[in-house]
Amino acid sequence: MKKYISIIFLLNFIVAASQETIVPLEEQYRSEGPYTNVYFKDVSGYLDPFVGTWEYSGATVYFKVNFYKLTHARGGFGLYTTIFEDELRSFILYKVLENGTWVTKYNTFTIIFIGDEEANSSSIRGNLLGVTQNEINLRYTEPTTHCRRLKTAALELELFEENGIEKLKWGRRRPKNNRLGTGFCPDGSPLDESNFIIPKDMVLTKVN
Amino acid sequence: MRAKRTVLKSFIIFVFSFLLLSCEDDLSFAGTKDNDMSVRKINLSELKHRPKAYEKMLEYMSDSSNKARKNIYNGKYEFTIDTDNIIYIEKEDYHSYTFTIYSDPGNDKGYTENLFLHLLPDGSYKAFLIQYNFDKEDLMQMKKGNAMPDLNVKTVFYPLPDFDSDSVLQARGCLQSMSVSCTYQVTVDKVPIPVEEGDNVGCDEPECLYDYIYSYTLVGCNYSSTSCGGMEATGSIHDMFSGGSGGGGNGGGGNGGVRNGPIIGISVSNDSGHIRELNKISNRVPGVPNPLRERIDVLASEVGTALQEKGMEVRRGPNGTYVHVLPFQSGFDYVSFGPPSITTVLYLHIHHNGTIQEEGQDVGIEPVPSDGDFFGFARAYDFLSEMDAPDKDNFTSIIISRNGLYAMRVEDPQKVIDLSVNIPNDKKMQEALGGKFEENVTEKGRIEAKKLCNGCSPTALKALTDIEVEKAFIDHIKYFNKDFGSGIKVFKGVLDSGSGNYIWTKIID
Repeated sequence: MKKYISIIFLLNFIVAASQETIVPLEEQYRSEGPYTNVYFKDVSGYLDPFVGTWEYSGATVYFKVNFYKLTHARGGFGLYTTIFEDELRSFILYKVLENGTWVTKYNTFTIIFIGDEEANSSSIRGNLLGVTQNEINLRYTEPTTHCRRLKTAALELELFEENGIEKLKWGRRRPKNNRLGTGFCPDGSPLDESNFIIPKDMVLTKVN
Repeated sequence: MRAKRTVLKSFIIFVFSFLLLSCEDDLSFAGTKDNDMSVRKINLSELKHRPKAYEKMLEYMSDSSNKARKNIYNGKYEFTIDTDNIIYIEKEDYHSYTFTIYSDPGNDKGYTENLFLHLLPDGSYKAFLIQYNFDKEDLMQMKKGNAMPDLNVKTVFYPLPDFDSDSVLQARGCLQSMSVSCTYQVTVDKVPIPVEEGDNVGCDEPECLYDYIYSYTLVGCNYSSTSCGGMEATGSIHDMFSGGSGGGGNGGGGNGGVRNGPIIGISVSNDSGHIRELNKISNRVPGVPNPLRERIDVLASEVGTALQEKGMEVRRGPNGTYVHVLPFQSGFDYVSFGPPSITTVLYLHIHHNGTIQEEGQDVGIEPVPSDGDFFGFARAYDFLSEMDAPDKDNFTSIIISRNGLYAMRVEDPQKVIDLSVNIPNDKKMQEALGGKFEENVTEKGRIEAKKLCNGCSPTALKALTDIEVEKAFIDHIKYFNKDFGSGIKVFKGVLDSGSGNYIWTKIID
């Protein structure tokens, strides 16, 4: 009997030792820690109102984004982290009318991600809560295959209602070309500093 | 005879102890030739299970409320005992504990100190304060594993008869000091790295990996002590460990043949060491020109007006001079230095106040180091390490902005090199690090400032944003360093209008 009790105590100890600390999302990344084995959890459901499919349809532009909430996602600093977060991720469809034909510029709905691959490939992601509960700040990384193009921007999103319809104000802000290491690709080509492809300002409507 | 052997054994361990901890907090050692000797690190938790030693250490504290803390701080005398890295050395029936002592920033004494607890035959401990007067060249030589033939000359022992704060102060003053003069034979042994450590499996010469074990063979020691009353004493090491205060010993307790050999990793990486080096870069001594400070001033004068980043790489020239090289590429929000030279000691660059319009939006530069600055620092250090540059561990990168100066220094060389190696080859990591930086620093700082501003003026909002971005930067890098590990320490320098010098404080471990 003593043996079983000891084992139970031991198991309890192991479980307790390996448990992560849950911190509310609004308190994430504060300098007092905890710094490792931490889960920034959306305990108050701040992310939920943004979840769903939103659409913008203009004369020459069509844009659709689906936000979903990923819980206990690997956050922090890449694959080696012990930090986890709840955050919004996305799929994007973006089409432009060119010479009378709708041309698809982006379609990440068709990309199948596996495991951590997704964590680093989702073009819109994040969980930075805004000044009010209707605002959120996400990070946009424009998909590219160019070795030196790592173009990012902040996405400022704000929920509001118009005639009983849910709307989402979309603003792409503070564009940035990240430069890492030397300024040239291995083949000698310089940085790709061309403009972003997706629109800067839109008002999206919730479709489901 | 047995007593004499025990005394000699004790002293060997004693010597071994101070060799180990003379290296501050960055020590490493591969082992010892003396198979009977056990050397390992313990922490405060483990020490608490050894009540006599623990209680002895606690006597060192003036504030009993601090007893639960790690890295115990003595506020009265402004130093901290490092209780995370206690060196415990054991051989047969003898053991000792050695602690590093850190001085507070701004109270740097210019030398390294250890606290040493030496086991007496009755099971109690005798305490010593050991002072090492190493200069930078000594530390570099020890880091390279080179022997220090004049080690004994630079070492002073302060026996502490009653080990409390007052006695420490008295000992430091003049009540009692002791210098020990020992003679060693130093040999170097080439030892294959054990197979289980990796790359050595099945290797052939010359590809095998080897460690070089530096062995110090003690030949003999004498000591002399002086007290405030003017009494002088000389003797052999036996008298010192017997608790006697000297008096006509015969000297020369030889014990050749017993070997102990630490490989010592030396770093000047305690905070006061970093700040001392930063002061040399940024501050003036009246009447003495400081060419590095002059360069900082030139760049600082352009922070408010420049519309692109500017910087310079500073290299050590002959006879205490410096030369600088301009970056090979720069633009609105970046500066790219070429590969450093073997004499490179410092990177300087500004984060200016200007903004540009991109797609009709104002885009500016944050007044704190960027993620790219961390990568650039790591890359430069990697180059310097490959060249085995003499100043590599003293390499500094300073970012000059409207917030003041931010300096990066090497804390953990291997982690810095790992960062340099991994980042360029791992796009996922680039995204995670770069993107997370923008989210956690730039955006979070802005949001927090807006919350605090609550309708304040644009000028007030800008000032608040600078403050909040710095807070967010510190938060972010702390997580980055603790979760991922950059091996880089960050300091901030604020210009003191009175002295005209920068006051440096550590902001990130």
